[in-house]
Amino acid sequence: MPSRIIMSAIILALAALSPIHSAPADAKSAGKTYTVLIKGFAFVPARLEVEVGDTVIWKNLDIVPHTATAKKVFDSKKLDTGQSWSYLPTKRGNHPYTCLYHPTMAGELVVK
Amino acid sequence: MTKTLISSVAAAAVLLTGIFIIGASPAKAADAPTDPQIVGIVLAADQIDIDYGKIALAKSKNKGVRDFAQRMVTDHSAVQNSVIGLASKLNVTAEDSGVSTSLKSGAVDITAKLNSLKGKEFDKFYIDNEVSYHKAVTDAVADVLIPNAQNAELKSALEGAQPLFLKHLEHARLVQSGGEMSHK
Repeated sequence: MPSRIIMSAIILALAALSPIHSAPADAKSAGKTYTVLIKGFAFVPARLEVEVGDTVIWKNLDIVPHTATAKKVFDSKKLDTGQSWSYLPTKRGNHPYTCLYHPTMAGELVVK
Repeated sequence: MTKTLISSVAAAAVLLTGIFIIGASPAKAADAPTDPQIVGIVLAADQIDIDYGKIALAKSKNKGVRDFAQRMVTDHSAVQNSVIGLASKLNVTAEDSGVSTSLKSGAVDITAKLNSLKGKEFDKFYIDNEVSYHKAVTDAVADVLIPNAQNAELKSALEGAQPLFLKHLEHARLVQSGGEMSHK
């Protein structure tokens, strides 16, 4: 009986490490991940094409705060130096966006 | 009144353009700024714009002007901290020069003018001055400070700051043209 318990424990432990358990997480983030750097007061790349299901990450490398904001579509809110924000696009179309603090910064997210 | 305002703005621009003239033959000019003087000029120019921004935040009721002023305070404070940190790392102590002294004395006049104006007159003078000031600073950084900076890290930091000054200039022009004034 003790050996059965030990075996069960081993099986449970192995099961916990099994890839089967990570499958749901993988399924949720099946799309590609893209990163837009905010540096030198610019979005790099300025234009990005993605598909619904992909993930877009904005990362602020400047010494001042920025936002990545497309009115009524997405808004990172304030991103301090070194901060990132990730977004899963659901709305197809061309979405021009800006930094709310620096309105002449311009980017475009195209969601197919 | 209008003439006085225009001449004050022009005076501010001339002060900074003075830096520009030094840059006619940057590397060899006898009065080309040294690295400690460059740090002194950047710190002075930065602080002046932070102070103008604080006055605007205290006096203006225009959302576009206030948003711009807040950005100047936030961004130039970040630049200020960055320059102080870099100077400390490089063991460079800021020094005054003819340019930084002129900047400071010019700012006394502009500050007096800002304090004397109200309402739309204040907003117009503040934004007009910000356009002239950032144009002059942008030119001075590109044509005088960067070419004369001896330390590679200082030169690189100045190059890195260029987009900030340019975007501030664009933002000031947007507010000046009325594009941001309507967001009340």
